[in-house]
Amino acid sequence: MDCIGIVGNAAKQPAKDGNLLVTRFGKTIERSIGMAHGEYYEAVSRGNVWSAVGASAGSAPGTSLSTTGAFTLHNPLNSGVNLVILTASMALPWKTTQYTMGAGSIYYTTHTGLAVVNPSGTPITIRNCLLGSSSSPKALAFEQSTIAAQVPLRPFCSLGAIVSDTSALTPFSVKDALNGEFIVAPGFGINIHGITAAGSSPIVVLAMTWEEVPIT
Amino acid sequence: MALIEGIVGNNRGGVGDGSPIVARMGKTGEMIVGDAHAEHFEASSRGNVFTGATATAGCAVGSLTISTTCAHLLYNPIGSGVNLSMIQASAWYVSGTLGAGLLLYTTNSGVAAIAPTAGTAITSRSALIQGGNAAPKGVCQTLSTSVPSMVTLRPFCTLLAYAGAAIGANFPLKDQLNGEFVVPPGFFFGIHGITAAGTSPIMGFSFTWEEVPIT
Repeated sequence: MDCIGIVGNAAKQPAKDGNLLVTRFGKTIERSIGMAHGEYYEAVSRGNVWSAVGASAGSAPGTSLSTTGAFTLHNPLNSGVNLVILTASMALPWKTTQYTMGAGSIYYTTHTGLAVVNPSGTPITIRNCLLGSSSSPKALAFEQSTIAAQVPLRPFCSLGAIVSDTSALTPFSVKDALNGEFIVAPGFGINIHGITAAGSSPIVVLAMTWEEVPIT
Repeated sequence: MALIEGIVGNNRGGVGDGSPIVARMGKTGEMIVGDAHAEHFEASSRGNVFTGATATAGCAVGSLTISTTCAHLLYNPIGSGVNLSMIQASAWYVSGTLGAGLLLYTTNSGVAAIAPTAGTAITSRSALIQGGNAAPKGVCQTLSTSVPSMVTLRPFCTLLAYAGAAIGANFPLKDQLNGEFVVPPGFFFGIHGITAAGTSPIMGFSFTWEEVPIT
């Protein structure tokens, strides 16, 4: 059965609820669509989207790729799901004592080869993005994790040598809408980790949001 | 069972309005589509999208810890019959010297039997700007107190010790959430700062959300 429509709005005028309409096409025959809700609503409202954020006190972003991950999202073997990364975000926390960020870049990293054993580290409480949902995620999230040797995927953002209590810069937001750019299969993980100068006791708060999609 | 079929690359050179046409497909079987309107048009045009912003005088940003006060929140009352799908959050500088730290999205860890109280109520407005629309179910408040069991979701942005007198680039602080968080009845979604004291730091905040019937 061919999918046949009309170029432009067949009804000429906006239709009323309950009217039967032929589907609309653009002038280069792309099917014209409209979003019922926000981009993530369907997945979130079904309880399939999760968020993990490191402690608000922050932790070290790292200086080189090694077997320690500043932030790790891991998909255990036999989880039965893929982790589809939706967003990553970062902020610099408040601290009573001054700290200075080490200049450099923050990267997304992963590891080569299947991880039979789950990583360890400081566990992060994962929350469902359908706020209050009591379901449990398949993924694990850690700060300062012990993982297989990291390999870089691509940069997330750059860091300047900001001094925590004296740099008078304007507020800034660091968020990357990945929208499925990276998918983490069971036995693998994705990390956020820095390749930076040492700075002076630098700390960051890192977070990820992801959808868990059953593997079929 | 009917198969949906189209033609690969069909009439990609362009066709005039009113022509019946078979769907265009990509070379790997995908249907080629394009947005008829802007992303939120359908929901906004049906009067389901609302926005709530703090008074232009702004409010205090936060404190040194997560407590029972939230700078800006959207609460979904029990029995509302809708989910609140978060579309957008924004923040702006008003006055003072900001305390260094971060703004976080927050929520409550258990069902709140009553709405957070003692905050400053915000008049939320429909994104369909024509007047006479239904009032939102969601309740926006500034500096809500007695916020139950607040927990963090993820960072919104970083604040440094910026003062308005200092030269700085314009800084739009807008986060396109697009449904990343959905607030069922009995829960709230908030913005709150964990920051140094600064000197009378005042900012403004806003949320835009869609109200989706629970079925």
